[in-house]
Amino acid sequence: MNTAAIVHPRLAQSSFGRAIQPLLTRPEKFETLGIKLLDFSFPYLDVELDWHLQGAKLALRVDGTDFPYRPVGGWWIDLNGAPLLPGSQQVPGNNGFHLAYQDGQPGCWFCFKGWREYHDHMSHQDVSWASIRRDTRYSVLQMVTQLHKDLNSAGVCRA
Amino acid sequence: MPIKAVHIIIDREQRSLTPGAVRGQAIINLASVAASEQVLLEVTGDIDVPLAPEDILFIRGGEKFSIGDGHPHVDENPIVRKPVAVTLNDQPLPESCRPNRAKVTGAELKSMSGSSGVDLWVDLDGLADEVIEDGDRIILQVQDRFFTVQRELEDRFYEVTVILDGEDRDHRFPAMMTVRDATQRSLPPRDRAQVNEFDLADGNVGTAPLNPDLTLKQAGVRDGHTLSITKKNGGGG
Repeated sequence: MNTAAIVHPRLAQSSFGRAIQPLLTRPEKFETLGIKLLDFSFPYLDVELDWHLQGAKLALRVDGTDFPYRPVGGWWIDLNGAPLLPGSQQVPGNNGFHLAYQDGQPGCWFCFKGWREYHDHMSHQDVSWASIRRDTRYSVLQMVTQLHKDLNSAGVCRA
Repeated sequence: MPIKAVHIIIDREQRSLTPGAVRGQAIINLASVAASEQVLLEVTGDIDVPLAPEDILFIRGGEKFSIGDGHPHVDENPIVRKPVAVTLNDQPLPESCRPNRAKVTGAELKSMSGSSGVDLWVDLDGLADEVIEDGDRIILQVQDRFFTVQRELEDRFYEVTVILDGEDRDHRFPAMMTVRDATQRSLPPRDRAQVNEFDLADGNVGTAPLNPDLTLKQAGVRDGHTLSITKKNGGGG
């Protein structure tokens, strides 16, 4: 979704870049965990997650537009950077990995606190991003690390 | 990132110092004292403790030191009015065991744990824990927390990186420490009581959470490995 910027892009770039600095400077540490840095060009951070339970790898795009005023967005992408859609048997489903937006349109989003799509959802207006964004548990890299762990949890299947 | 410097006060002047286990000599150097003068750790409500060059104390920031001229003479290891209730293996030392002097050696502290064949460690918030040798003499402070771990001649400890909350931190854990204890010591104090809500994984071993009841050695953790901590339940709905 394209919207007018709320945070000046330079400020958002600086905040987002700071938040992911450990990954940019020491990518080998994260790669050992199964999180490989693919590319960073603001507003997008692309990483590849090891989906070892399915013997696959999945590219994740993290969108830092308007960060930290708004939480980061996230979705799966193909080799060309296009969003991966459900039905292709390439994306995860269940346990918080949702496959349709509120309007019923197919699309992958993460139903976990700290992700933009979670906070945009009408059912999640009780926990505001503003109330948790200073909690390091919702730092960008911790959310990516947690997403990688949840991706590899039992019950998550190809969709 | 680990804390790089904290402030201490020496003779009413603020100085900067790397926190953690520090030898008395490092403080004495900062104080630039004359041969006849003494640097003393100020202790509220008790006798101030003179620093000897080889003593160890744990600097967290905010400690105050004064400079004495040597008159009156203060014993190098003075008897204190209120024995310090440091924490050993998660329990404050019982009143009957508290040392009545300001400094104790690693060996003396170990003997208070009632175990033999163990290593003594100090638990430093936000910093890598450190092993205390038997001969090290420690200036006790009330906030000091020590723990003992069964000694193993091989693989005595592992130096690992733990990724938590988007930060990578270096830790040194005893090889015989349990996964649960290592997880707890890696968490910020606010989360330590909820250690069972977290998983520790070793990226060099795989992505599955390590069994919290195993020792790090049994779980396959080794020197140089990269570990990560996540919530058991990510909250997905």
